[in-house]
Amino acid sequence: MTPFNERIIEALETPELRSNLRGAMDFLRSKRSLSIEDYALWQQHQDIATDVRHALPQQLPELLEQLEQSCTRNGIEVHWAADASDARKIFLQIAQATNATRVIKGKSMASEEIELNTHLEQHGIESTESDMGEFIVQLANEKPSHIIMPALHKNQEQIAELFNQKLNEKADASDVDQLIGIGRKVLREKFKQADIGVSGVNFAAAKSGTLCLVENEGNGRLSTSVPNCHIAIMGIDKVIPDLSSLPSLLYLLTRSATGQEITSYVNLISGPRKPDELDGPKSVHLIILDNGRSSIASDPALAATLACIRCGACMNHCPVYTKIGGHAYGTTYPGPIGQVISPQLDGGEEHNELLNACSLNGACGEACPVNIELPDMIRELRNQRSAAQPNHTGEKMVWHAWRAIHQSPRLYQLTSLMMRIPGLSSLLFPRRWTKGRTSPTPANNTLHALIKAKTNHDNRDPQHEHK
Amino acid sequence: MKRVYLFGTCLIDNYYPEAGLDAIELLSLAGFESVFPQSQTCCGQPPYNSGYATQSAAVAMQTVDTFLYAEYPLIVPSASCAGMIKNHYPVLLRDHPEYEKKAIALASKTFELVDFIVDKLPYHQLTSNTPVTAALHQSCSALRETGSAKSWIKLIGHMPHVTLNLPCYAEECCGFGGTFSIKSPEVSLAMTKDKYEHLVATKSQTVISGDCGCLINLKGYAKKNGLAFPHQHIASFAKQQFDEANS
Amino acid sequence: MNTNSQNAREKILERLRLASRAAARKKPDIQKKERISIQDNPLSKPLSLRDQLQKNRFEVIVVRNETLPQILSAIVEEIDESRPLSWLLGNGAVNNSIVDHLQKIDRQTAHQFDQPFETLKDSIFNDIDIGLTHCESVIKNTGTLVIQPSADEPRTLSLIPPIHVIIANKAVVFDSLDGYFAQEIELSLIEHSNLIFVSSPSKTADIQQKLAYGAHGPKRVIVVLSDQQLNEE
Ligand code: SF4
Repeated sequence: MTPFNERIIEALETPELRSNLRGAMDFLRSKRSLSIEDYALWQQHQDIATDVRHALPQQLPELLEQLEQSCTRNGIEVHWAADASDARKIFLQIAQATNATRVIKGKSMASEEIELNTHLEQHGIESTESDMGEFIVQLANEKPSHIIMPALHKNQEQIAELFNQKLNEKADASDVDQLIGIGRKVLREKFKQADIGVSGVNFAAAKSGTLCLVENEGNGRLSTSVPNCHIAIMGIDKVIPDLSSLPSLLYLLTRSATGQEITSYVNLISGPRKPDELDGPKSVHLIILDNGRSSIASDPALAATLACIRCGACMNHCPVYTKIGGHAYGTTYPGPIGQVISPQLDGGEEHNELLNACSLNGACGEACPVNIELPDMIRELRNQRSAAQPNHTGEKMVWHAWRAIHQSPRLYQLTSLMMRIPGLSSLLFPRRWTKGRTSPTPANNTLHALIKAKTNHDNRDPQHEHK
Repeated sequence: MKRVYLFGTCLIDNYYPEAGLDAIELLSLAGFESVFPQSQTCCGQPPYNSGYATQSAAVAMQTVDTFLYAEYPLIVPSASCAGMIKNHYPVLLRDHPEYEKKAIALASKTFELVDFIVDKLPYHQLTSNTPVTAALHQSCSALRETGSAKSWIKLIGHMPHVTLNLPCYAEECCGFGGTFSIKSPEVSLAMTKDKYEHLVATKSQTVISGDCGCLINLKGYAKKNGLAFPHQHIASFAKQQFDEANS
Repeated sequence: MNTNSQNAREKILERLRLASRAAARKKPDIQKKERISIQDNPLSKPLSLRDQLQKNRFEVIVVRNETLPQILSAIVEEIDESRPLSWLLGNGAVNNSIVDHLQKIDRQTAHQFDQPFETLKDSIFNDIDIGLTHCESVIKNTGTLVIQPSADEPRTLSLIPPIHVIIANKAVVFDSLDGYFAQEIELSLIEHSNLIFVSSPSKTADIQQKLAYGAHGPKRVIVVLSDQQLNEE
């Protein structure tokens, strides 16, 4: 049993988790579906967004250079990180240069990817998550289980219990407003004290050097307005040519993610506090992170995964995610998009195994607002995995034999006959199948045989007529 | 009568041959004579979805050759196999110069059975009025590969005595997914259990679907747990409605 | 940029240039699949600006020919708090005169954001109840107010105080975000290093998908519009 399998079983056997997940998925799916008022308009935006995002892998070098220039012109300091360790080093240098001891963070999956919190704690810098969901997850010493709703694996009671224990508050499980009030109170202090605010980036417009952040709570705005220094971390795939496509991208992102027509706040940042301004960060840094993305760009069959706008719709519609939740994947990005990018971002053989947890039912590809054919990508990664296997591995040999049989009509029909020898057909089905399901019994006669017997059908097959 | 090719598919061939015969009857009611080449085997989807494209391509080429011999439309009583040929052959075979064009040609003349006949059947001959309730399992392929689920619903819509029920979470996968059910058996089984229970909750007399993989999977689950699972391929179910009418 | 970052830059760009040269393999046209999970949910008719804003949880005050003192009284009435309230406003002639008038209303004290944030930080966080800003652009179909922080009206005015008052009765109304972006965005970006599109009070559904307002930003947002903007008969 592999660790992934163990986590799957553990998740499946936790009834509370199962019902929290089902509830959250029901909510997110129906919100999304109701938010689409006009499918024709949806398609218009989808076309614009798909064009912009799918052209990206080819344009990345130019766009990133342009982004760097525009940001620099706007007074944003740009840094490049080839991998997670680069990014951590850059961050630490900025923090140490300003003697920062406290960091407040807005939601950022890129910072999860580089495990920023752990790194900062190791260097004596306090790092506090300020998104309510992230805050809950951090208090519980866990990782986010979803890219949009980090704490959806927990219910109200579990969260109240956590607040009672960790914050010494009298939290009332039945009163969400009170629970949020507690979070607000605790975090306001942190905002006030923080030396550095961290954010992710939803989109970065190369032409104007503008960082776009999308959120509902206002913690992102606080993180990027209150502390003296703002550090934004973005994957190289977040860049867009200019802001002209932003309305379309937002239209799709907020509807796909949470079924909102628009989020409470869309925050466009194009520089630090100006000389005549009275607030805002005095310095803004942008860390551009590669961490495996450029190798995705170089594989034509997978490059389209860089078009992802991280809306989470694919996981919300995935029946496997719905059953096991995000933690079971053991990766920063769970669900279908996680299955596709994790093997390439985090590297490692172990992630290959994630590819098994997909029935190729297509729900993710259908939900994806920017037309990423995730099932095709998963199939392609399975191809790449098997191509790397030596020829004598068990599964490969099975498929070799399978091919030999099905390539030859005679062998195929012979095999069909053999399957009808009592006891033989069940051998076709491995124990991993028959443990939960009885193997099917072949019908007395094959369709081939029935047709042949009934009508001497062969005569009608032109292939035979002409021979 | 115009002729069509029938691709029985390996699952119908071995486990639901009567559905193949019923498909032939339905096609004939719709005015088509079926040609069933004995050289047909499998569409190649199992290795294709498991990541063994080379092995799959070899079998796909054999299928292409079988059904491109004459210009007859290719009718497939399985949304999954129809989807494989229509949507995936052109991709799978694009690196085989000789077959790339053929694959596209085959794809463009391939139809899922019900998609093909739904507007052609002589519904006036359908005089059966024994009320029956049926739960429809739409199958992921019928929803997202071929779109045949719409035709399935339309077909039953022509049969006023049939009450069609869609289970809750109708668009969710039954957990089969070919080798997925072997490589990830625990999640797969949890999905199958849910699907089975949602179908049963419709309190229908029978479950119908146009994909045998799902039916075999659900039946296997039911049998293992000593549960009942009355079900039929949609072709058999439809044919039966015409039979009763004619007798 | 230090040498490490410089090296990373070269490495990343080089890899990407190589990648983009490896032209994508051409895929044959695949028949477009039906996307069943997407269905229309058409509204009977598009919402009016007022309805859209209210749906977004803004409190809307509509003015006709009222004088500034009358408008301010209407706002205070809408806020409907019996305790003394402390306001924070920006600078410039318009804000100066609002401050003067506010001071004359019972239980209202008005301050101005006239020093660097660092100096005012504690009092903004602890003592201010209401932040007031102006707004020049409103977007109808999403119910969005575009806030453009400036030297006169800093960023945190609309962010930290629990109540945010937006004076928008002079704003231009755009039909959609697309319209605003097509016409306005470039100019706005030149003048403002921060632009905020506000479409509801601060909110979260992070606890079991239950909606709660006032997560980190303002819990209440009061918007002043003119009857002309609403175009209601
Ligand atoms: S792959 Fe598509 S659906 Fe999934 S997160 Fe990315 S954009 Fe959203």
